Amino acid sequence: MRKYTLIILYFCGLLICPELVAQEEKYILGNSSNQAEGVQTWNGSIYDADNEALIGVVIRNKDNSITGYTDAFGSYEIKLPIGNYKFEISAIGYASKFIELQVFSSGSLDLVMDKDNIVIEGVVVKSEADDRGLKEIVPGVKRMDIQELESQSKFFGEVDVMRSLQSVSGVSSVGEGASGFNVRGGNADQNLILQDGHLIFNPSHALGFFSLFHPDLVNYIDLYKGALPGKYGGRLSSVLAVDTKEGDATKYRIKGGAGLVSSRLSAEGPIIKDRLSFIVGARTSYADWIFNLAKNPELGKSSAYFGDITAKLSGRIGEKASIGASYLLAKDDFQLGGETRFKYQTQSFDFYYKQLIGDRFNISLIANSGEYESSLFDLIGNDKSQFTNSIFYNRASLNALYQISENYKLNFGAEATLYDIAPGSVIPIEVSTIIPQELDPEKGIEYGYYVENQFTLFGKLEFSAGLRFSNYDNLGPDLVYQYDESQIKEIGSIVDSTFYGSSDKIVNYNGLEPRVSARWEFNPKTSLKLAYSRTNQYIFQISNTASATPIDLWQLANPHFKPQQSDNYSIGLYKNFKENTYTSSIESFYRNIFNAVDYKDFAQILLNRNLETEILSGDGLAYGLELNFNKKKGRLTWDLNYTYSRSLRQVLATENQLAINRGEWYASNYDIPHVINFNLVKKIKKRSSLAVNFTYRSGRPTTAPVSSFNTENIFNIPIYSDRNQFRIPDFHRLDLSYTIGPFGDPNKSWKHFVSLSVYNVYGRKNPYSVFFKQSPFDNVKAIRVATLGSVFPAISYNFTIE
Amino acid sequence: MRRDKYIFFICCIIFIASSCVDEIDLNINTEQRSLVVDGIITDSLNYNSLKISLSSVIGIGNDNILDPVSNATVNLMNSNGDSYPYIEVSDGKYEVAHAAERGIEYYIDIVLENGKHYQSRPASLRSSSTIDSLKWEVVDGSYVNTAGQFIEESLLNINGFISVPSGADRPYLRWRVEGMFEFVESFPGLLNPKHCFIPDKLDISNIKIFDTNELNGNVLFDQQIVQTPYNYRFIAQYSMLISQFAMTEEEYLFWESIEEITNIEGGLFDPPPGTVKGNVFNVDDPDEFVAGYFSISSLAQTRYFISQNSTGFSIPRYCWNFSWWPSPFGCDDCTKILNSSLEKPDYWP
Repeated sequence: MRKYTLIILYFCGLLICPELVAQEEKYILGNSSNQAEGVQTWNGSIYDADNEALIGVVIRNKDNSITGYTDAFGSYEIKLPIGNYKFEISAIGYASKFIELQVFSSGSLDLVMDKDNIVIEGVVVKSEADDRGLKEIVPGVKRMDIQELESQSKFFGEVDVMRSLQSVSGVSSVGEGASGFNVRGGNADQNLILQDGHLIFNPSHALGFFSLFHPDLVNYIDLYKGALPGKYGGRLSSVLAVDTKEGDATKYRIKGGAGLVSSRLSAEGPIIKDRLSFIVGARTSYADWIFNLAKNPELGKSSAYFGDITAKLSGRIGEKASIGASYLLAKDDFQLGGETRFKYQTQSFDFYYKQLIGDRFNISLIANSGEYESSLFDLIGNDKSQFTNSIFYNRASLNALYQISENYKLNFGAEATLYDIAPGSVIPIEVSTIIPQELDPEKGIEYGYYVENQFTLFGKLEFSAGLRFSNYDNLGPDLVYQYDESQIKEIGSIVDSTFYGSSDKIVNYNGLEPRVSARWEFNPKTSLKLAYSRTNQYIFQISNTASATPIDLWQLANPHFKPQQSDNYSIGLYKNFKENTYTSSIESFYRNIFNAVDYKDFAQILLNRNLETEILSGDGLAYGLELNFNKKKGRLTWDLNYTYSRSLRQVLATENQLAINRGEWYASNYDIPHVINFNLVKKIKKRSSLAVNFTYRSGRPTTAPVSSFNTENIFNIPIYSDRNQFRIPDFHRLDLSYTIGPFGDPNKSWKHFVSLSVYNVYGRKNPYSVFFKQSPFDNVKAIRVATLGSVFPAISYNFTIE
Repeated sequence: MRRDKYIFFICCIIFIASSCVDEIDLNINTEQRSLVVDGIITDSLNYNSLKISLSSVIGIGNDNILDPVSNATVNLMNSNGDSYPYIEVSDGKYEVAHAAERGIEYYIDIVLENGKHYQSRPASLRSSSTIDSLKWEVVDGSYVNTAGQFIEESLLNINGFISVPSGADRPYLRWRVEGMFEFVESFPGLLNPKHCFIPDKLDISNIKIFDTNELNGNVLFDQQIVQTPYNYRFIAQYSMLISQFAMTEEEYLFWESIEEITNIEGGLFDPPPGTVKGNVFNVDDPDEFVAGYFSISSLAQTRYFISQNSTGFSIPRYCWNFSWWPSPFGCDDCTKILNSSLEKPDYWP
């Protein structure tokens, strides 16, 4: 029986594996009549069919003795002796290419790779180079491209970066539709979120059901869960770098889609053929019809809107330089009945310039500027008001890569970010008793400098040794209060204050951040990785709620808010089987956090001039184990992962603060010990595929009442347990989606796709939150709030014109 | 917090017929009980009671029943070294015949039968303020209930005008209201209807506090003290005894926290709940949590009468109103109503 199965698999393999059907292309470097001696240099660039440079393409010969990758410009350089070679060239989402290369002397060769096309039989969907997990030097890195994102569960029929991220081991969220995400037990504000270098402070649309990344513009996303490369800094937990496409410089293309709540459109094409291209994408929502279905007249007055525009111009100057600019605007506006309205927006602009100097030295320069502004409107009563806060930044960075030799690569660079925060203002609306108020702005500048060496020893051992230096100044104007050191920090213990003038340095913090990782390749199928990194964080989100809210304010490090620091240790073992058909890994991590922020009971966060009096300072600890098993090739692919992790906090009593839970370690809000994710994609027919996703997560911690008391007229006043002593019920959900398309003649320029999805198939009422309700003459009740308490079917239509 | 409703809103837009809010069992089975001290001493002999009990255990029986703690030795102590003993008047309820004086710090001293020793942090009376006048208004309080039905209702508001002393020692105010209404039974053929006097708990679960430091000037205008449905209780005559306490900042923060904790609506945007700490502590074990508060407050009281005759807003007939058939409970015999009495109070007009 088994043998029979193997034979069937073999025949299927013949049909579907490009390795077996692809033709080898032949190339010659140099001239046989003018043969050079010794080691030669083979370089060039790799593009896709749209002439877009491909990053991270793997080039290697059969026994892996010669390997190379393309850099940020799609350029590669490989040292090799004269001879005949067979190379495999593979990249995420592209059909592998097999070339036969005859080298007589150094030379240049540009190659074009074709996209894997999920609708053409015989080609495998590859979302990640088969052995990238194995080859990447840093443990805990996950790359997903748009095809992998598209194959995942759809909510309202929409592909979404943030939703897909939550199926990655080590990534979770505090609830369905919660803003932000948590990586390896970290806070949502400990993730550095970048879209082409723009800082994103709130990636969420519609609370957290969607994200502001336009799916048709996403090229790929990189998530660094543990050790960070020297290039990145300023956040403790992770880096999420979203890379958007460059517009096609040769032909025009329009893509679009319509779903139940939103529609999107994107267009790209040349402005000057092969020189200058554009891409622009927009989305808009139309969820108001949902409110009209509601019987509740209050809800009928509600409205919800989100929309965004992303645009990018990319140009090439000669053969070795490129230049571009991009713009992002994302808006959200929610109104609940006649009572409350939330409005927030992200806006950023950036400019980049990349230059190859000689053939080994790459530099890139990015300058950007952006802001995030959020408002909360209180629309009823005699205290009608608008509360607003905002953060504005300017940022410049220079990154350089110098390929010194085949075995030695040097990265270095510098960046500076100037933050300007308006922590809050309130203004009355119409007739209101509210007195206008505005808190003083806060300012800070953060610098980062790094050098990173990547080198290979004995052919098998790869090292990356880097050092980052971060330096931060908190700048005036500001009035800084001094508190009595021997007392609990509260307004009553203020002893003095100092005024700092405009741009005066109030306080400086800095730190050296070692970033070290090593990879030992036992054989082409097995590798072991170790990494250590230290990070400092100088800007935090003040959020005293389980999930981040759109109006949470950002706080810069100052004399009272010390920078947070963490040490990350990770180790991973990676093994692939059956020609990389199956991949597996075990990763373990340990992270400590210094100066973690927690809050006093009943902390007042909004419009508080003395915010430091509501904050407690403690330590954090997170550790865990992540197991991944994947099948990456064939008509049936799947991805199974399990994570065990803990995230703990400790707040000790000092002269200036009271302890939490008597100074014992307690679970943080993000302590979710068990997480299981399973994703499966099955190509059913020529033009359709089925995706199945299942997620299980332990319930997050909560504080519950254990007892209650009365006063003369107030009954059932709860006495709460220790902080986070209990847990809300577990979360699990099954989703299905079925994609059909393109319809019609594949040679026609207009292609249609239809996607059907069912979210939460068995209608589980997953708790978004649990709260406790007390009424005067009734017992305390635990009330579950589920955002999606039932099955949710959806349909969406997508098209491409080119 | 209105923004807490944000989550309900999101929850409801994604609706689909099924309820998104329901009750669950979290299996919280702990026997963590705390001592509860709920007491007050004022500059008047009218308010001087103290209750000692054990907090209830949630999930077992009635969460509102506290077990009284009897046979405690309780003394009111002051900074002059005087002590005034309390007498246990009923199970767990103690009283002292002493009115607090200005300029002296007071605290409570409790020794339980098992020898555990508790005290409150000392505090002195704050300067008091007076209720200058009261004003009523009847407003529309109609609303849509959770089932989507429109409920028509009128509300009676009683607002106060209060003089507040200027200077650094401005008081933190708290109001309590005790209601009593006259109820006249009625049915066809009744010749001598009885008049019952029924105590009404007007301020259950309703915390009314104000920090006069937020006030610009010396008069607090239009401070709402009572809000209650304007209904049959106001047909004959209604009396409200309004007590205004001038308390310490610490006590104000205690009530503010209680207000917050009892109004949680359950969004992810709710701040995490915490336990409200009072001012009573175990002398030998500062880590022990003691619930409740021992208040030291100045008292100002005033009585206010109101009825449909004085407002001019008529109230639909209560007994023998054909839309309420059969007549509501008590219309045939008002003495059946809980706590009702046929004895007319001395202060009744």
